[in-house]
Amino acid sequence: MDINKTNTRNGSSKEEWDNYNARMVAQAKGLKLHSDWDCAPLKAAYVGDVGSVWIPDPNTPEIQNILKRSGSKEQLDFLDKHKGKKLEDVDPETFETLKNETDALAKAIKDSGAAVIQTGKDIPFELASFQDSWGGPRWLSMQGHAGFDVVGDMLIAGWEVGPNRAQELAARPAINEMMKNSPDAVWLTMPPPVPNRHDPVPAPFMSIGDFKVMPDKTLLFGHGIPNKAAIKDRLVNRTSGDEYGAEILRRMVEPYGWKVENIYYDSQYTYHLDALMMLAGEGVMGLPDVPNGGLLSELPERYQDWDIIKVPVEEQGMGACNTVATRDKGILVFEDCPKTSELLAKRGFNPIPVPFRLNYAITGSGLHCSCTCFWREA
Amino acid sequence: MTEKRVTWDELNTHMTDMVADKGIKIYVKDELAPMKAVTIGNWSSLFFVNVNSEEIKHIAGDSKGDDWFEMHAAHANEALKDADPERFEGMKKALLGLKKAYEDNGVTVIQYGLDSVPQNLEDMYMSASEQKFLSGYGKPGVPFVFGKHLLQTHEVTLTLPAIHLHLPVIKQLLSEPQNKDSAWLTMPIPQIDNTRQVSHWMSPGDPRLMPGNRILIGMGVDDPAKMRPGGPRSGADEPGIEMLRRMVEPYGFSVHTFFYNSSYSPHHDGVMFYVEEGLYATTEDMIWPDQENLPKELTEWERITITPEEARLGACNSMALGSKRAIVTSSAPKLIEELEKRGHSVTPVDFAVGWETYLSGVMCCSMAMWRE
Repeated sequence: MDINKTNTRNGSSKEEWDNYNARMVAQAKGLKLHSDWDCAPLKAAYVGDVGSVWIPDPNTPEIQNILKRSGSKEQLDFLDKHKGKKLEDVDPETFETLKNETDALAKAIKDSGAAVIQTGKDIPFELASFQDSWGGPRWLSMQGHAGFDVVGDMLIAGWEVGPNRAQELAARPAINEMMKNSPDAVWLTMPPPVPNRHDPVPAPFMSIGDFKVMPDKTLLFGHGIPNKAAIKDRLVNRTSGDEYGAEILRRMVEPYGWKVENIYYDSQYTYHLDALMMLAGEGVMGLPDVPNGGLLSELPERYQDWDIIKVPVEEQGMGACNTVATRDKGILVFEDCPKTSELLAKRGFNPIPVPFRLNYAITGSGLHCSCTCFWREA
Repeated sequence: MTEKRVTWDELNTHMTDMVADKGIKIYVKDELAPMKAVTIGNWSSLFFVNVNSEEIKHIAGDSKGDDWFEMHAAHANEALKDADPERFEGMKKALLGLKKAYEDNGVTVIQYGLDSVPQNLEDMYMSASEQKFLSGYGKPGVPFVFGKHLLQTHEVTLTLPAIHLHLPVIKQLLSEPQNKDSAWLTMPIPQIDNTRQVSHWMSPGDPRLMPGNRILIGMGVDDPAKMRPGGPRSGADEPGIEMLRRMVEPYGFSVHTFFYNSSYSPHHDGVMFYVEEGLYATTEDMIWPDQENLPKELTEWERITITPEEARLGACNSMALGSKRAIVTSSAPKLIEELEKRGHSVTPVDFAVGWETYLSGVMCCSMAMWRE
């Protein structure tokens, strides 16, 4: 038997993978993995793309759990209408708008002087389909922040909900290249979730959107819950990361000099902390203009004297807190959230508007959710 | 009649109850320390392998012949229980025999004991690599334990679902007070590219924990000329080793490497049997000559020479239990004699069917959870 005969399985060819890998590696040349914190000067980002826009089923336990309190009717109706379908095939106009928005985000980052890595539209099909056999969803690729983040010299890979789980694998060729350029980088991965379609939160769970990287080597880990009583009641599902996931993260990062602290927020406002808490710059954060900024526990004392921007709640609901700091006080904001831009400008920031409405309306993912800023360094 | 399949709830309860509140520690001082708890493979999901795959050709190409590939190709992804009931019963008997061997030596055994797994676990990697879940190996089921910490590495895709089978065990143990300081690290899962052997690889069969917080990693090549940087490796490769090094150094562990002859096995644990501090066993031609900076274990320790014939039957894949005790395949009588001559108590197990079917011996089927 000739064991060297060509693999006959019906997947992408070696040439397709070669081309994909080469494209990703080329974009990563000279870039490195390091981030001082969420608002350090941005030098490079991995931005989501439209290579695999398969619409998830909103009726699965995990999607129901995450969107239960913050999902809009418009969003749920759209997902239900197109669930399991490739958007480009069933609604090319919407797809084109999503693509334009994603391109606009990439352009805004490039215009700020930072490098951008994107997958492009031609991806190996396995990235979309690798969960098919156990009934998992196909890849929804716009959420560039769903696969990993960089914290100090640590690349922390996480898994997000099922539709987003290919993101780190998609970025893998670029990450491998950047690891070569980053002799101090260490690659830490959270345990992969169980392939169980019936589990709303496959513990230990942590989404990359669950923590904010503070300037004092702290990861502020947010848990979305319906009310204060749920802080102690662990039988109440968290909208995303759970305490067990936070604990796994804590034990993982502590030897590298970082700590993890838990806070709780009201899940009616969002399902990930990065859509509730905006970090604009050192000493300045934004929270929705509601009692206690939507938090159900206190901020750690050392952040309580920060200048807290009260983001109009209607704009927070449109994604206004899901921003990306660039450099020199630049900050990418939703173009249709003018009040938030005004509040930032008053404090000396330079809001850079990006059209991103349809992305947020359909997926609940804004600017911050759509890119991983893997190189931030003063 | 279709057999009733195990549900996730049944799986979780079964595995949690097996370990809950028994005081099991996640701790391995080194792999020569007395063993107190171990996780071993099981028979719940045994399939013939889809050998028409680059990763399988890569991993077994150096050490397995045409007959092995033909056996699997004839029944690719068919359940052993249906396609070859006799072999299935042999595997089950071998795995139960392994359990008994550990228990007879006072070791607590964690072994999944139900007859099936949830369908989506069995099929987890079918769309990624067209491989059914193979539950016979124990090593991929739980992370490699170094000190009090866990490090999940990844074997070929057919074994990757094993971690999910054992997740309730890890969750339970991490929640108990004796393990409150254990970290759980995970290497990146393998890329889902079936057109080549993926890089940045580290199998659970590659790292070995030696005294003094030293992690020894063997790199397999079938020809010493391939020891050059960037050459093909049968198991762990340099980028994978570098990733592991960066992960474990802050925890106080160092990493050391050497090259071995991969015609015997794709992994370090198939070629080197570390018996006790100062003594190891392998064949005369296992460690390739002319290597600089060989780990001190291979230059300063005494060697028992294993015959090539016994090495090809899994002799090197034996398990030291500490306190001069070991479990060795009964296919290696000469090795057993050598150990007994040195005052070791050996528990032989009949594991020939595992080695023949899956290149899986005593050590491949076991991952120490607690040695102290």
